[in-house]
Amino acid sequence: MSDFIIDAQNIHKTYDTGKVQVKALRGIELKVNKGDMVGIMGPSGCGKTTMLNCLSGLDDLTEGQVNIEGRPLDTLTNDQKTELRAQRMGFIFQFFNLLPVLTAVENVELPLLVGGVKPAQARIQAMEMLETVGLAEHADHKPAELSGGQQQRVTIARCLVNKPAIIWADEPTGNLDTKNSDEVIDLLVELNRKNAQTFIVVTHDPKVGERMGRIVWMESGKILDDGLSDKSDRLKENIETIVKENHDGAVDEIIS
Amino acid sequence: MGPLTSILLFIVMVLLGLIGIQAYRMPIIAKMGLRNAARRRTNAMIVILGLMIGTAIISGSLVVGDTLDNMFTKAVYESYDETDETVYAINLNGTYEFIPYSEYEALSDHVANDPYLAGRVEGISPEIYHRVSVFDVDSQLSEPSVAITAFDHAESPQFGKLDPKQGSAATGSELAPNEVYVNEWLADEMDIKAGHRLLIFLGENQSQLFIVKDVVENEGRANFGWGPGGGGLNIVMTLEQAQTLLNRTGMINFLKLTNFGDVKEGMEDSEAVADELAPYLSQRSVPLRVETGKQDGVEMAETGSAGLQTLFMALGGFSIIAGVMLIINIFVMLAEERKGEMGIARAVGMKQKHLMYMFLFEGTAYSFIASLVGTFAGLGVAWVIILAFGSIFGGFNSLQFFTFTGESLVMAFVGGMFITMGTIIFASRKVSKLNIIRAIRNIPEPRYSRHEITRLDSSVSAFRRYKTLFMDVLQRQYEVVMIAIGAFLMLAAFVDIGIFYDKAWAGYVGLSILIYGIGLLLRRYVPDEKAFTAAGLVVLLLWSYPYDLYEQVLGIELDGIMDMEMWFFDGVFMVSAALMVIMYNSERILGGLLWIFGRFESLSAIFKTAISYPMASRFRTGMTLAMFSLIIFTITSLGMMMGLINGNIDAITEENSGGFDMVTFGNPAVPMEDIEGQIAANANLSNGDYDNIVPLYTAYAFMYPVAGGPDQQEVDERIADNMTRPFPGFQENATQYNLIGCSQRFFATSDYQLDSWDEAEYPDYHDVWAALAANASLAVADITIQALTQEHMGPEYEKAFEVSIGDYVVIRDAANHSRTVKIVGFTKQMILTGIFVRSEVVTEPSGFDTRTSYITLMTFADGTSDDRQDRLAKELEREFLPYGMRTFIIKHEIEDQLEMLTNFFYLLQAFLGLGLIVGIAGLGVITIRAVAERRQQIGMLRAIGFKERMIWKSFLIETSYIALLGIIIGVILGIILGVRFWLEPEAEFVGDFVIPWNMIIPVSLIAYLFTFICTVGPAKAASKVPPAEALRYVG
Repeated sequence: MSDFIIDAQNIHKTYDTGKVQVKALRGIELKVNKGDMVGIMGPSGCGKTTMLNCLSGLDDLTEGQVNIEGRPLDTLTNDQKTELRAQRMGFIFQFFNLLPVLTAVENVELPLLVGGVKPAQARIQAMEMLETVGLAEHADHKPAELSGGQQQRVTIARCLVNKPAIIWADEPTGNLDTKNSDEVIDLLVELNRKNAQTFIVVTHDPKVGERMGRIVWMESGKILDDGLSDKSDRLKENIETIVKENHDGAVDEIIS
Repeated sequence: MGPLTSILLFIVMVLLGLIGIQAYRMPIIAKMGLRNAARRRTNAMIVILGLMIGTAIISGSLVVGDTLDNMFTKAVYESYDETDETVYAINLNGTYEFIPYSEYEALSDHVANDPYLAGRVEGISPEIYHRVSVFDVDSQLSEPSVAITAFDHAESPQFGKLDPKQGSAATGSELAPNEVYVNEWLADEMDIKAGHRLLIFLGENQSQLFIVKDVVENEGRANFGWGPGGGGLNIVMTLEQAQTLLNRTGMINFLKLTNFGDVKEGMEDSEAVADELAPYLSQRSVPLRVETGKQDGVEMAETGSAGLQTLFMALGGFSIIAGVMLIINIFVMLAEERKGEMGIARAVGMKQKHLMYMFLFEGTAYSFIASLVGTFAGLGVAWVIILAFGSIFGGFNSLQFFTFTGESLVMAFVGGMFITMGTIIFASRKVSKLNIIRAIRNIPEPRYSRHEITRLDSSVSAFRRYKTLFMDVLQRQYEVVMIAIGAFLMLAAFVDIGIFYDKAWAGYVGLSILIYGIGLLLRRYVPDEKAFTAAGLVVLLLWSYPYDLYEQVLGIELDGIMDMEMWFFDGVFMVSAALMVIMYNSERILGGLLWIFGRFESLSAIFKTAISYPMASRFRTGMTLAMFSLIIFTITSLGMMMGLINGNIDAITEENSGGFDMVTFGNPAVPMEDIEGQIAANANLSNGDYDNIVPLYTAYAFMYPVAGGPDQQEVDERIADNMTRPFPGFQENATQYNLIGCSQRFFATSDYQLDSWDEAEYPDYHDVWAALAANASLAVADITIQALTQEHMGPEYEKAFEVSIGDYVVIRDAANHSRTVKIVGFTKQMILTGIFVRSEVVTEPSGFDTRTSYITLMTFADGTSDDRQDRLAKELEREFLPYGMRTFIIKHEIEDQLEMLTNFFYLLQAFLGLGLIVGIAGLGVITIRAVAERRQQIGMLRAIGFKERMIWKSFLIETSYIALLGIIIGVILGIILGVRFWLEPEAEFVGDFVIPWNMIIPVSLIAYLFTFICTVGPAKAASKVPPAEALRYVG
């Protein structure tokens, strides 16, 4: 049995649109330890989100194997995968994906209710989690009544309320301004440090990448560089390229 | 084409023309609109289906009207055929008086010598029309009431020939003295075939055997008397044969006149000919009367079919409203779907009016196709209704009458276009109003709260300023407009300003609009929830409170509270008020439901998502709920009516029976003396089977009402004048009606309730009958006299006389028997029609000197079972066939009538089912849209642990919630309306209050089941959305 919390071996994902075949992932190998905070970076269309979806069981593989906490995903039924996600995983999305018709606290308590927690108990835990993310005062607000940063914090609260072992975040700051982006990433890092939960964060943002303990660089469906615990030269170069494209220069400041 | 059709057609053509011009001026917008229509085929189909319903209902109702018109008028035309006027006298026993043949000759001379008549009357047929009872020796079947129709073809060739089944056209002259023809109606009824031996009874121990030469088609001369139900069972023979048979040589009792022109053209002169003839006929030694039966019958048929057409149209109104709501809903959803692209379109320079036109062009395309298809779909709807109509009313092949006029189809198309275009213009205006940024970023629209009127400076043209002011008042001060309209309607209802005066609907609708207006105005000062809840509750209370209590408490009495339009407004306002309360208290409902279902751990998450969505989309949910509630409300309230009427069966039986079980009618031409003696003398019958037998004596006399008044002397003078006027003059203004002589046994043993009576004089209705028993100058009239004076009963009945309690009736006959009686009450019963008096008024020489007794009231011995009652009735008919006895067991007759009515109600409910289809389709559409809209959210739910079945359960609970809430609202409001009907004295429901759960539950279940079926597909599709793909999907 694998000791890694995430163990992906030779995973391939091909989208068949009927006319063309798109090879989104081409033989990914990834091992992640419990408590790691891994950033997945790379240019647009390189397969970052696809990899996250495949690793988390949201999408099926074309080839290869993923073990989550030692459980091979390909041996699980759809319902079992759903249960695994409900009990052991949390998700944070770029577009927040909160249910617009529910209040903040109702959104946060939803995963608990799905998991069979009694409504009263779920409400207490959801409020605690909102307090953790600094939004207890906005518990009764609907998403439309919250700012982008606040919405993302509600998403984080919803993601963490189940105390998941793995948190998957797909561009968590992609829709936020610098200030909110900083606040959100601070929060994620603090939670990782405090709870030793595993974070897999897909991001374009070098500043977010900077805060990750390890950065995996992808291009054309492959991992080109896996920074593990330190940042390799090649990684630095890649980040530099992105920063140049996105930030007109202030490279040194970011990667120093 | 009628004026309304022409005007509507013109307006629609102008509208289409204007839209066409705009499309020409804005080709790119037109292209966008039309391409949008083609973009989503399913949506387009659903929109067209929704739009089609309204047109189909209009078309269906009009075609039902055409067909019923055809069905009813065809019966009249076929029965009267060439005959346009009939001339006859009715004697005191209610049969046609025999007159010398010379009367025919004199009439012919009179017509020939009167240039006015000579130019109009083509021919006259001297005939005998006489009722007899018949026994077919070969089929062993009997018929107590058959008409002998006898004529001389040589004298009246203008009336056409007979059409025997075998052989060529016949005139009757080929009949041997012992041969007759029978028409198809009679042949079918008695299983008669050519060669059968027919025994014709003329009275006790008087019968004659005839051979049936052939069966003749039910047309022309062999079809007089409006088909089988109306007495069209005909034996056809020559005039000479009939004269010999009835021992009336040289006599006739019926004259038919035909005018120049075909069957329909001739009828146009009927009234003129009758008016010209009347003075001459009334001066004859036996005063004769002229009737325009064909024309009256056709007018009555048209009134009847128009009434049914209105009924179907009014019921269809509910479905049309549901259809309109579906269209608005769909357009709002289309707009939401395209919000982003519309925002971008606005951002790149398109104006709001361009967006409106874009929707308008798209909508016009839908509307045109839908109206066209709907018009023809309506033919199918009408076809089904007519088919059902035939099976309900007598199980005949009603489809043979199926027909439609071009005008009906044009009207349906134009009406459909009118409704759909109106809806689309409204919807287009609504959806085109958007804020560019909010549209692009998909941010909810804020509450619209501007109330101020735009102030344009004087440089703007006066037209523009007034237009802006008008639109501002309509759009920003609509609360004030509503208050003004409501106040106006109320004013009109209570103060006679020449419109809507005393109309209950105007009062109720006015007050409701006023309350809604105040509610909207209150929104400026208090939260929406409070304002709408208050307005909704007050309106709901207004329409739920029994009318009668308003009368009692406030002394307000308005006319027409039981009218059809009130029912329509009942539905509209009760449902809108209830929805207002519910939609603006959705949080509480949601809280309550979550409190209940949240306890089930596995359901709490599903419920939370399922119920939050509909409550968040208030407009959309409200519209869908309204569709369901309105239709279920209508079906339930119809069911309640049915239940209450059926619950009234014992009361109706009691009212109509007077304590008797059976009434028998004989042939007035063969009156039966001493029925009890006859029963005792008959070995097959026994008086022991009956507890009570009461024969009634009748005289068919001329009656003229004289209104009572404070000046008794003046009244007496008028009475005296009518008692002494020469009979022909009196007869012209009088109505011939039954005088029913009641024996002391009748007074002692009957218990006929009275509908109204002179309560000042007689505290209880029993006192009225007691007074009648003691005083031969008093009379009680049957209730139908009141109904007969109402115009809607058709032209035939307008001639009936109007009489009220306290009035006098002068009763006379040509033999100068005369009497005056005072009306002191009206019965509730409607089986025996006539003026009830003491028997001596009819029987004694000082009275009308007739002992005609053909009506007998009977009570079966205690404990006689229903089956035995039926057997005894049949035995009586068989044994007293020579007297033409027909028996009617009162309770069974009423049950049969009610069953027919119940079936008719079912037909109406089925018609309303069309509206239900709209509601169900609407929910299906909403679910499909919801799945598309929430794709990303579904992905998220799947990511956080919602299993596939939880997703589809959530969708199903959501749609079930809307459907069930709509059904529950509709059922509750329908029951409330039923309670109000029940408590309404005017409706006269005296039975127990009944809720017809056996109808409500299946209908509700079927409605829900179909909703379930319609939404399970999209719900399943939602659950199958792969989470990774759903999360990637944006917009």
